[in-house]
Amino acid sequence: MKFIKPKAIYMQIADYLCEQILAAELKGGDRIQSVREMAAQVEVNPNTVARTFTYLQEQEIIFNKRGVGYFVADDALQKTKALKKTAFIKQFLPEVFKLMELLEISFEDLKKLKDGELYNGLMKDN
Amino acid sequence: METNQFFSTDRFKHLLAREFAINKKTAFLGLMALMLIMLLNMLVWARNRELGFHEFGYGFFLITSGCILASLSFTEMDKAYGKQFYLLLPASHFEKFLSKWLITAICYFVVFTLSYFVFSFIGKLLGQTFFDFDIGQPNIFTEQNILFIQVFFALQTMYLLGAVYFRKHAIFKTMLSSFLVTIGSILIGGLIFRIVMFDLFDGMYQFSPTMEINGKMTPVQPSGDFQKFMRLNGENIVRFWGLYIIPAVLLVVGYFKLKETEL
Amino acid sequence: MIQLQNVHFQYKKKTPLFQALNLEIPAGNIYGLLGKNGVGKTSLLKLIGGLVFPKSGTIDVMGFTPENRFPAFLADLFFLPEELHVPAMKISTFEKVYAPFYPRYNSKQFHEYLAEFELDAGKTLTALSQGQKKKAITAFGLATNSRLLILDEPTNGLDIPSKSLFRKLLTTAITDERTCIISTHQVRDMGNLMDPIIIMDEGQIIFNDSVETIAEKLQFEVKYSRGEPDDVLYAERVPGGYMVVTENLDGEETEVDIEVFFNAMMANKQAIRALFA
Repeated sequence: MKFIKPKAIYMQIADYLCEQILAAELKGGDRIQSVREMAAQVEVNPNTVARTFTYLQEQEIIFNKRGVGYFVADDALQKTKALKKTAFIKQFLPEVFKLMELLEISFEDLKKLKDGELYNGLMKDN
Repeated sequence: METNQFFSTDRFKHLLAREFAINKKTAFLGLMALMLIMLLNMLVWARNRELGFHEFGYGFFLITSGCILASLSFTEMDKAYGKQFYLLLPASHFEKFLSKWLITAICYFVVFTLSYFVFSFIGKLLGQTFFDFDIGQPNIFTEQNILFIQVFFALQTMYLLGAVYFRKHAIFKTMLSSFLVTIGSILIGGLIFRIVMFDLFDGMYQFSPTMEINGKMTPVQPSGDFQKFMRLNGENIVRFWGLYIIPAVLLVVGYFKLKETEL
Repeated sequence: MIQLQNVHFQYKKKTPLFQALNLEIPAGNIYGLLGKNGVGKTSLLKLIGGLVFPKSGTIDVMGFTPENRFPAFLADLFFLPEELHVPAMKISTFEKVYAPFYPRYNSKQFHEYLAEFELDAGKTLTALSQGQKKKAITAFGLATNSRLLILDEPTNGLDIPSKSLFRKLLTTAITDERTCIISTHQVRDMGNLMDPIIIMDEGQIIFNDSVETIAEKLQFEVKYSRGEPDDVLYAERVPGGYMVVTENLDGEETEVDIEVFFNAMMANKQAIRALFA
């Protein structure tokens, strides 16, 4: 039996902003859209976006200049990477390890896969 | 509350502008149709070489068309969503009712009278040209026409109330209900009279007031003073009630009916 | 903003629709009013708009008693009904005639919204399709900047791109000073826009809380299993398994599916209401 828990919408929007930071589409010091603009863009209630911004502010990825708006923090890239790394290690990897065990895929196989080899070879084993 | 919630000239102006924008086309076409009917009538009279068209023409057309117009004044509220739209229009009920009255009574009276003069002039010319007959010019200041005008203002309040009161076909419903109310009040009045004056009736209907005076049954009559008073003022009393008091009451009732209207 | 206290209401000669209904709506949000058909959503909106009068109880909307229908109240309210009545005039004439009744009306906004909806102000309203009429009147309603905006089934009759545009415009137009109440049975159309959620059932308000609170109390997840899962508050079939609603015990917030939440509420009223009590 398997579960899928979709993340809360405000977290989905946070992920979306984090991806933009990781892809360097948003850089330190950049101004972020206002809550209302962002809400209109992704068609959600402004309260939800406000929560996203509060969350990212707590993670020190963005900061609020009073009366001006939200900006990307200078060290946002490092902070985002650290945050995503934790999420990767804590949530994503255990699932992967579990599946690897079930499907009998070794770390060697993984490495070869990464190098672009042996897709067919792996398939042949089955 | 800072602004006046009962009447504001600005809102009232916006309401009138709205009425004009919505109804100008239909109103113009309706008036032209009415005037053409009148013109045709005049020509028929001219052809028959009959005099006196304007003796009744003005009153007849003013009253009939005025009552029809008043009946149509709230057709926007016939359908539920139109009614919702009108009720939610940001103006007071007083402004809304007053604007309808102003348009269907005062404005209509002025526009109708002016058009009537223009078209009777055209009719006069046409009558002279085609039938060599002068049908004459109207004069609205005859005693009769002034009474007609008063009757128009009085009757149209009834149809305006009917328009607020009834959804769809207000004119027929108003006619029917005013007829029923009239018959009903005559019957009830008669019945009350019959019951209260029981002793003065001879048989079922015969009203023969008699009194026992000195042991003798003597026919009686209202006092001479009262008869004289009624002879002098009776007509005025009826006029005063029929032309002023009842119409004023109908207008007030119409306003409250609009105020109390729910969807 | 809006307060209903102990409101009784019924239509003539019918069974009472509301008995002792209470509701409080603070200002500045996009409220979603949900309920099964015939439960009285439209009647509640009409009570708030002063279009029908309560048999007893008090209603206060922006400091006014709606049934008086004072001009200042009406000028601060825009009510978009499910089906529209439009006068036979051009959109531009409509604006000229009706805008003066609304003191905070903004013509620039109106024309921006019209442009977004791809409507030409020179078109005659009665010649438009039902969806276009709705878009034109919605654009006008948003541009009135009335403090209260009541939308009854606003996405009915709109095509898919228009629905998306509608959501975008609404989020920009509903500022903190404005309150919007959306009644809808098409929860999918508006799901992520509405917050807080109000649910009506059997003449009562059975739920009135924010989406955040829902996420704190409940978890929504897809369970891939063949048999119907037990030990859940609610389960409904999705391809390959079940969408289940459970109590949020570990504090992790999941995406709140308003439609599933509504269905769960209808199916398991007592248990879910107990969690929010």
